[in-house]
Amino acid sequence: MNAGNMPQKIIKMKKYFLITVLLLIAFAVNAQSKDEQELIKRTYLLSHTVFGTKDSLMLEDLFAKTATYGHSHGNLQTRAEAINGIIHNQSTYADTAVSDITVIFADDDVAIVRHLFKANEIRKDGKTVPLNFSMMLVWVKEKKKWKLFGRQAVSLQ
Amino acid sequence: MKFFFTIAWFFTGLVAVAQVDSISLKDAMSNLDKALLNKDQRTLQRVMHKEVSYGHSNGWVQTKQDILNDLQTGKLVYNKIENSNVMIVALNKKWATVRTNTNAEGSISGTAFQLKLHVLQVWIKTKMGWQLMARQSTKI
Repeated sequence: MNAGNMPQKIIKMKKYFLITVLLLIAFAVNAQSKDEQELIKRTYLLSHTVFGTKDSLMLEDLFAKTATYGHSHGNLQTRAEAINGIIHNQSTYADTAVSDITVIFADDDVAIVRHLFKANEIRKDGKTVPLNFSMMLVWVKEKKKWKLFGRQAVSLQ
Repeated sequence: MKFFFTIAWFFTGLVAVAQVDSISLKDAMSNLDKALLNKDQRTLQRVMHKEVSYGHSNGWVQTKQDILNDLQTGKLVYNKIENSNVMIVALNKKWATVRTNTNAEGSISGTAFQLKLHVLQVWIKTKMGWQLMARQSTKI
């Protein structure tokens, strides 16, 4: 090895180092944006299930074991109470709209999702009530799946 | 026999750790409330995450900068923050969600408010200690 080759070797090493770092960053960013997409998907699915299909198996899949579910009037439910309430909810919902979704990661396996929710609730007695909510959702990653850990609704009316 | 002792010892350890954490978390919660009442910017800087979102019962959501500014300008003034029925739901030592019922009094843009709230908070443990990451309240 002569002295003339040294700088070139160092440059080459630096280049590989830079490429490795960039790749690692790209992987990390990609992983987070994948999680973000997954969270948005799960958020839509949750809304669609709670206010649409009321499918109990889907709810079982969406809710974490120790989930707490807060309604806009301040009443708080456990996982079992919430699922039971949703599947026996006799209202139907029209013109449902989820908008303004934001995702903030608190940790790799915890995220806070906020979104707006509008709909017309058609009650059992036929009365229609407009709904205008802001939702805060806490999602946790359990066995590679995002599960709802906490939910708090607030009415904007 | 030894096996059972090991298990018992393991659980004692877990309970102890969980208790210490809930004490430090309750301290952080109390520091946050005191700092909001006293407009203590230094403590607020410490106990709130830089990406905190602070949602009120009318749907208004404040950023960290909003909280600091609105206290400084007097747009938002707190005279009383009282928590009851504090329930900590934690999965691990790095983060926790807390639910409380809160009586809050103060004024917003000069108009007095007196609210009974249910609140959901998300806290995460950082190098700075427990920090509030998100909060949403609704009127009871």
